[in-house]
Amino acid sequence: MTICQETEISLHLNGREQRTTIEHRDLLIDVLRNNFKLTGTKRSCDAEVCGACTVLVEGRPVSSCSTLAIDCAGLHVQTIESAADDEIMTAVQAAFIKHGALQCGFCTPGMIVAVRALLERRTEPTQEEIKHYLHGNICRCTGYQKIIEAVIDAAQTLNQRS
Amino acid sequence: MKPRRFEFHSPASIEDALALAGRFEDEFMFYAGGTEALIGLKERVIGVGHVINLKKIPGLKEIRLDAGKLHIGALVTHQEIADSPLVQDVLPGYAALSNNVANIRVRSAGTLAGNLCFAEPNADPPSMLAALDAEVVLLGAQGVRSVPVRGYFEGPYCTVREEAEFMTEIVIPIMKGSRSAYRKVVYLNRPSAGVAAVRNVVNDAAAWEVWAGSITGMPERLDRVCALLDGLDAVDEAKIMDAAAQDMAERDVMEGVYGSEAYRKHLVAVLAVRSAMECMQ
Repeated sequence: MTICQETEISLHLNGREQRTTIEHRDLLIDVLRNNFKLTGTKRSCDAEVCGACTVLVEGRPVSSCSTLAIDCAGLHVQTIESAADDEIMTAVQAAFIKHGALQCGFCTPGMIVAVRALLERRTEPTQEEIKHYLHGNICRCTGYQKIIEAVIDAAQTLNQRS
Repeated sequence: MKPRRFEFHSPASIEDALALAGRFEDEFMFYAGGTEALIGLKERVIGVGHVINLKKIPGLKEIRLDAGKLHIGALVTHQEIADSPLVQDVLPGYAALSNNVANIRVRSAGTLAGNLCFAEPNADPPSMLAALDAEVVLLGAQGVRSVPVRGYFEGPYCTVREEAEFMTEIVIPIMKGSRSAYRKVVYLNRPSAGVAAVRNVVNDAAAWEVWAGSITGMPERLDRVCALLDGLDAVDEAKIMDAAAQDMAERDVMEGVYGSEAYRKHLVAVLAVRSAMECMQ
């Protein structure tokens, strides 16, 4: 039996329609980093534990290391590279800088993408809600307190605007 | 690591999915959320040539209450269960469990049915579904059958589900006046042990179902704990710990990265107390 293992897909990637040819087995993280040169999304644990590779698919956070690219055909995919064009992400990014919510920065893209999804869901998250939502985004530098402060600050900034 | 090469199929109906399964025999796997499947495919412990995606099949994303039973469709994710006003209303203990499965990314992509089909031994839902006496509905070439969760698991990654049977829904009876709670100990993503307690009321008397999970590869009923709680009006921590220790003495608990046998048996006793206390509040 002939096996078809390659196909062309389109993605609504960071607000733009994009096409690329992939193998059926290709992971979303590799297509983002290799085909589209969007290297802000980081691979770390490769097992859905650490959150460094978090991207949004149809607005929901997923581990791009463990998501098939072909499964995202025709869907909206948002990565850290859209931060400048996304009001929520811009505010989160600014709050992270203001609060020093990063040191080495490796977890930061996944962290900001996850926080974007949280703030879409909860406009005024409590400290406990932030901890619960970011439970699966691991940071080995900051001790998390500054990240939590930055998220609360970003939420306040966005709420004052609206 | 990349998975081995495979062909990805997206049938539009259950019939088409079963036809593909029949055609590829031992060379396929069903795929929905992918949170468990991708780990196995990337580690290459799964090396199938065909992945049959179920996500394009309509009608499998529903949560509904029908004749006193909660029906959860095959494509419903953990997060959708957690966020469902219906589940929060009729089974708040299960909604809370779903809200704490792994992390937000796994909850957003992973389905309850996928979790039960993969049968990873360290998982939250099985013990609670056993305590609630839920059933899974399996559809194959031979027809439909309902299997009680209490008899569904055979061990780590092993269930009575045939490879070419697909789980269409999970059905949970809603008992009037019942309370349920799940408590676990986790580091990273998966529980080292979890205990589900359900306090039913039958003929004005308490009838407990307390089940331990993530310790042997299948849900384990804590018979002595259940019998003890049936006769108690308030939580007696020492007695429950003692009964749980006796129940666990007869079990062969997995050793490994999630803890030693002695540690995990101790966790079960502590979690039995905590989950029972939650039901009594």
